[in-house]
Amino acid sequence: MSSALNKPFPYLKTCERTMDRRHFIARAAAGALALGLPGAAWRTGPSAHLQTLARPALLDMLGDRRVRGLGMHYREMHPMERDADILSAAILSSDMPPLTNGRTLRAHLKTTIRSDFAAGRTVLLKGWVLSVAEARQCALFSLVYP
Amino acid sequence: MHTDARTLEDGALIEGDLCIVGAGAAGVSMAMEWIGTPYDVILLEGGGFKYEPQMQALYAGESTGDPYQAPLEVARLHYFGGTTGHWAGWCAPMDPIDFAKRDWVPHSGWPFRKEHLDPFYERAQAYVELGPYAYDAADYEARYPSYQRLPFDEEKIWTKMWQFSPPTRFGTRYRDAIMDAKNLHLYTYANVTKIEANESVRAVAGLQAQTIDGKRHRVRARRYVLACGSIQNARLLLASNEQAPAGLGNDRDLVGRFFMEHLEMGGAQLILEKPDPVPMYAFRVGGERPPTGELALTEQAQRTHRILNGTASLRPGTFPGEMRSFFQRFSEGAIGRRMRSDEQERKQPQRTHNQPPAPGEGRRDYRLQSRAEQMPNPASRVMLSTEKDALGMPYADLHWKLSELDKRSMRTFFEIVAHEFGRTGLGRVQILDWLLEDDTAWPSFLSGGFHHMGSTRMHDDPGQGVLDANAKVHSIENLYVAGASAFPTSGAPNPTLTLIALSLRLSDHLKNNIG
Repeated sequence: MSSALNKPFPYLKTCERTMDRRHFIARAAAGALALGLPGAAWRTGPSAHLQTLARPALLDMLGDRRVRGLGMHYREMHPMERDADILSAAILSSDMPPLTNGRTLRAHLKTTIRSDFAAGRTVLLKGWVLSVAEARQCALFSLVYP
Repeated sequence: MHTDARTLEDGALIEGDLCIVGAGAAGVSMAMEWIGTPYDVILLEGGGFKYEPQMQALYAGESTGDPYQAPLEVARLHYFGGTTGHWAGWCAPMDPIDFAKRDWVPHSGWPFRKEHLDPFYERAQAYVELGPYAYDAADYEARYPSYQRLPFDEEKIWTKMWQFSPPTRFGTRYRDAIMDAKNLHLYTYANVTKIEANESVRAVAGLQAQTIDGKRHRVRARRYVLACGSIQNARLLLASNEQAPAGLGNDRDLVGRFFMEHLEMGGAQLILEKPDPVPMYAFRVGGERPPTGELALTEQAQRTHRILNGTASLRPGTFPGEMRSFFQRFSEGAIGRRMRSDEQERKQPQRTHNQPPAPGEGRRDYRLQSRAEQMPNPASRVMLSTEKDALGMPYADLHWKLSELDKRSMRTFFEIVAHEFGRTGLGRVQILDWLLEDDTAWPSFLSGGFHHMGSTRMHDDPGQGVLDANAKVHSIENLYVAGASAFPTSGAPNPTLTLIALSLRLSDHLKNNIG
């Protein structure tokens, strides 16, 4: 984290520079497979897993309205991540364990978020210092529950 | 003994071995050390024993730099006991790194290490009626069952403990002891307006003291100590410019420079994952208070990020939409009331006892309030005004100047705190907008803590400091300075405990050298 803080929130720049749309789509497909979901499920409505992804733990701390606002702000800042498939895939890391139910997914997200903070993978949204994963969850929330 | 200088005949001569100018925390604690010694000690106080607007007006001046949004005459009390008349009682020593030369902090470094000052800190505790010289958070965790440090990375954030003085009002607490001392002579309403040097301008020959009704007295001693606070110490040296055109002790144009404050402002909003009274960090105001903790930057974090020292208190609640500074609260009609805390306390002797919060009393929202070191800055300075006060002495103007490092340090500190709350899953932090803007811009609610430091800094090199390591003016044989104006750097803690420790150290030095 220390080196990241020398240049505040460098992740954003890295993300914008390296993640193109093709890369996101590839990850989205991988994420869908990892969730065991048919691609159509992502397009036709929130599945159980998508609902878990789209309901960040932050909701309890910050409330629906603020989380939605943060999510919209994130999408404005990251035009490439404006759809649910891409966001879902980006939230789920490549080393994701098999997800059998919502509980394991939530546990995985919690670990991911803490790891993000420890590694300095954070973004600044309206002054809030958030993990990249939870910021994307906010964005997903704003899409799924507009 | 005590004499009202207004009752002396015009032109009276006051003589003694040691003359202390100013009866605030520095001057009174030093004077107390000399009771019962074989030396005649003169203690000069410009005001009387209570707040008087006419005396207070002598401390007026303009602010010309970054907005110092409180009238200067509000920031310091001009009567016996000085600004302890309205201080809040927060006490903690500075950290070891505050004394070190830091290559990323221009003009940093004290002429001695913290270990050298520790015995004086220990003695200073008694003057402000504190408990043992113990500031280790682990000790308090062991003592108070509800106290538990936040589980942050110890290489980044540590818990700095504070003890609370009642707060000791020096004007009340030490008045009788000083008045009763046979070898100590307090003169009230004796405003020193000029320091007279000898022919070679190498030593002080005497002082001119004036009363508000126009009498002029002379004061002679073997040693002189200025203990009037950062602004008034510099003012007095600069105004003593008949024999030394730039002012006494100002051969190197250093007197008045490096004025520092602590930046005490809202920096970030914290939302905890679960309601928690965080007892170890509970913010308590007034009355009997158990020690409390603040989040503080570790030495390692300061080195890694090349930033200044700082702490943050957790204050219950959410920042209002329109922020107001501590300064502004003093500037809006409440001056008189706030200035006379000691008198109010006499009328209301029952102090609120701060009970520790019970389980379930916790909340989720806390304001993170900074207490930040200011970078020593030669452009931040006290200067003489072209206008004069009722005694014919030029007012002191303040040109307070902050730096990019000051703001960057605060922002980085809150970033680190935010990451630790996130990493531990305890909560999330929102850094306030003003900290995210340009590092040279300051908000309308810019605020200090009324902690005036610097202006006659210590340094072994006469080219870099007004005072030597013993707090003697480099170029003057028998002139010393006590108080926070001697600080080379400000650290983050409120300065009272440190300035008393320095006064006791100077007192010991003088006892060993007065002959």
